[in-house]
Amino acid sequence: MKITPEQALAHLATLPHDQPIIRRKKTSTPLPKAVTDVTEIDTMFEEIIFAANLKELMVAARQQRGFTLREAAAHAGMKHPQLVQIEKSSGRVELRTLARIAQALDFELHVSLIPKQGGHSIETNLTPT
Amino acid sequence: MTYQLFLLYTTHVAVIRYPHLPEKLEDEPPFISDMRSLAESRKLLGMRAIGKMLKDLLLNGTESRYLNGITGYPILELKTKSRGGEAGGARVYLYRADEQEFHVCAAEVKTGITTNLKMLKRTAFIAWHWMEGYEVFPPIQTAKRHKRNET
Repeated sequence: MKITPEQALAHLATLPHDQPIIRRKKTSTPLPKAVTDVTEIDTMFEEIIFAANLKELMVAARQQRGFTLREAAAHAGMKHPQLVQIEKSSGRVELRTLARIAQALDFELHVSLIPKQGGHSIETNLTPT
Repeated sequence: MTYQLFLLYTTHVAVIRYPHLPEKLEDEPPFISDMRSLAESRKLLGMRAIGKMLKDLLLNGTESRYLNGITGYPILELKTKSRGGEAGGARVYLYRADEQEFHVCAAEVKTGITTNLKMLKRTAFIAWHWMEGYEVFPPIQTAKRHKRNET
């Protein structure tokens, strides 16, 4: 049965407002593990912010070179969907892969460890030679 | 006393799941996409407020101080007590799938006071499919199924 979001909303309006929306038919598919721990929420947010920062960095680098996603993937010797995945959502990328992408875009990948309390920074160039 | 406080802090009352759009089970849950959009637009204070409300929901369930019903529907929203700013505009749209189980469908950081109709409709759409027995979670690849697929 097809239903539009508007119809779904109208249908729900007829249900008791203070009761849970119970599933009428049992599913054979097991439900995914539920979030039960507050630390899982923190971890999820950290991952999302990390991914957003990484995406911003990669999009800026790509746009500076005037490459499309497809062109950048070809330069890095990667498949287009792989680069899309890295840039668009997951944020889970090996540093080696990131260094390869940076090199393909004619950048160097430097990693800096900057002490929060002052002191000397430690930096290394991870660009493949 | 310390032990009791520890239990109070760590014991969850409710559980949370992030359902998918029924016709797009392979995509990530819309709530996660909303959070990515907020992160990309640097609404970090709003995100922090959303995280705080979700944690409170886990720990207090239906007694969460942020939980409000949306008039006329069995749909709920998490709303901060702050006024103005990003934190004040943080909203989470969800429904109760069982006594203490919540399905979180949408989130935003808004400026006005009215309910976001688009997000309300999305939550209703998912809730209706859940109620009628359609899948709103992608199938889990269990070890048994995996083995069967290999043979």
